[in-house]
Amino acid sequence: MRTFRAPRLLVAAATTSLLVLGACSTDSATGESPDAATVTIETNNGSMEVPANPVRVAALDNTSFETLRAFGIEPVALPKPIMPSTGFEEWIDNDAILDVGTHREPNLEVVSEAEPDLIIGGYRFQEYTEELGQIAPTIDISPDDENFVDTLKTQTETLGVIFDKEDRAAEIIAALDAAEASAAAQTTGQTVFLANVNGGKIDNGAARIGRLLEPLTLTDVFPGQAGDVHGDSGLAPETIAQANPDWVIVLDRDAAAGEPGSSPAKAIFDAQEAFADTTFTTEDQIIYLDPFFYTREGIQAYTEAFQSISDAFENAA
Amino acid sequence: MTNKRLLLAAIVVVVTLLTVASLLVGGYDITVASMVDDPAARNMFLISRVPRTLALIFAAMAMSISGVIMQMITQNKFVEPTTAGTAQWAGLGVLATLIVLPDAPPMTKMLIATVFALVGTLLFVGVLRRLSVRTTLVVPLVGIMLGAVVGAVTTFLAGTFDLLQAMSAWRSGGFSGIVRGFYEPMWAVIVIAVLAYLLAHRFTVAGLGKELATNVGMRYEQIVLVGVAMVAVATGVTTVVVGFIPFLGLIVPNLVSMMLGDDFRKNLPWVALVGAGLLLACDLVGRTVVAPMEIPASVVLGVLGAVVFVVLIVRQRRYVSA
Repeated sequence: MRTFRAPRLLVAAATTSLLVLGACSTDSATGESPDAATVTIETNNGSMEVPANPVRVAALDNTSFETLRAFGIEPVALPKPIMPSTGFEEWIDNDAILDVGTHREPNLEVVSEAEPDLIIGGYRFQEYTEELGQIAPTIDISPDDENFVDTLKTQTETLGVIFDKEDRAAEIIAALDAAEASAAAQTTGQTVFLANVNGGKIDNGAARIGRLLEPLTLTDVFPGQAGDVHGDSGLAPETIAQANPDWVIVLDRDAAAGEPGSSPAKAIFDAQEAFADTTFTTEDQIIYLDPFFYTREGIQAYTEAFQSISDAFENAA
Repeated sequence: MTNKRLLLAAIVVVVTLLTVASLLVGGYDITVASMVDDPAARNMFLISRVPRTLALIFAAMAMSISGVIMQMITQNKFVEPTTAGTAQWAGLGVLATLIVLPDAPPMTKMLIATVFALVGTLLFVGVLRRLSVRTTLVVPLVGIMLGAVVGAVTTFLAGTFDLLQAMSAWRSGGFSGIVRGFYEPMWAVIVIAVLAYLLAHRFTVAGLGKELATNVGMRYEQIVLVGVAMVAVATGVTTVVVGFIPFLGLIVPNLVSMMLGDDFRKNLPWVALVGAGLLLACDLVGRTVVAPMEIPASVVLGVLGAVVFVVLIVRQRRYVSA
């Protein structure tokens, strides 16, 4: 595949880089509107100069989608198969927005066809940053694994700078700050199990949603990266019962695929005899995250998650 | 002769010990003492340990007995549910239920998976008959190829319907989620095992080839169909409850043949026993090496099985009659 694609890409890259070079020479009178100014931003790969207020944006990093929408920006290309199937119908069903495909087999030709002024790469598309950079300026401002919640804010700020929506960005960040602070105030060292329910199996979700605990005072009963996001591991119900956490936060991977409104994970937890005597069952302290949390993962998803954690803890107190 | 007896006695002792170990190893604090005076420990023993150990034994029996039956029918020592496409077809059946009937009860899912396994296995047997070259390696290669095609279709469909993650989680063949209420259909394997024992001589005759079997007055097609149906049920149930268990149906019958010769009926209980021991051992390894997390038994078995598979193929001229 790669060897066949490479020559075409090179041609595309060569032509686009010429265009980019043309656009970048600021003092040359290109006849374009004076909007062709650039801004300098910090990315995960160092500081970069990108077009200010770009009109045609290819958005690949799913954590940026909801913020872009809040800014009133409609991308020209999106990885439609890995977008939340509910909530983004307007973009997914719009044929004018090109489909890049999944991060496993992205169609970079499509990105090129969309003629973007700016590509928001990174996150699931991190490994393609260099290739994408040959098509148009590509930024990786996706949140950082180590410091996810804080870098979500940085990402939002940066997007605000690029699109000249700093006020709106500040509002979005303030909402996260409020939800985060309220959840942090409610959590006082309780134990928690982060569950990932996938294919009917309960597994350790720490690798995926452990970031939720960054600002909170909760103790994960199975901390660390153990437990594979993609299912090649297991955790026996009796082991969870032995750990007997006060709370469980559930990422329901099966819900996104099932009927809207159904909760396969809840059915599995309810049917578990092994959990009958645990604190989280007797006190009914299980929080189910938004079914599309896994494909959203942006600042808005985290704001909602902190809000529901805060609400659940407040009700339990 | 005494050496053989000693070996068989040793197998019985080792498998018994593994069974006891499986009942005593796990994430919840259960000891022989705590079971006597702690109702919670006793309860967890019944909810978690007993079902898991039974499921391991049943799954092992299902796969290794299926392996023997298929090896008889195809007259090839390298055929078993995962090298004949049977398990992959059952997997496609599971995916079909996830797409069309996501809320179906487990029994319906098993029935559909079994029907898919049956169709797939019949297809495999049918393809074999049209094959002019049926050497030892071609037969399993055809099966692996068919299985790969079905597997690819399954993966494509899963990708299309956003079920890739669910499929991979389910396919990995782990026993970590097995508790009371999640394994009961596996008791059906006992029925298959008894049937296999009762029909053993017929399968042996069928294993001599269509012409010979017909000459001695057997309805060859009928016994092949019965055998395939038994394999489909055993594989379908196992696939739905625990996922794919590779290689077991291949290495266990061959190991037992190397020890005891090729008497199907006499071997059958030993095939079941050795299979159970092997799977219990793999699961115990998976349960302990990364505790409190677990590695699926099938992953441990896959590593072991791949090695034994290669060894058997390399040494086939000496030990395995094709």
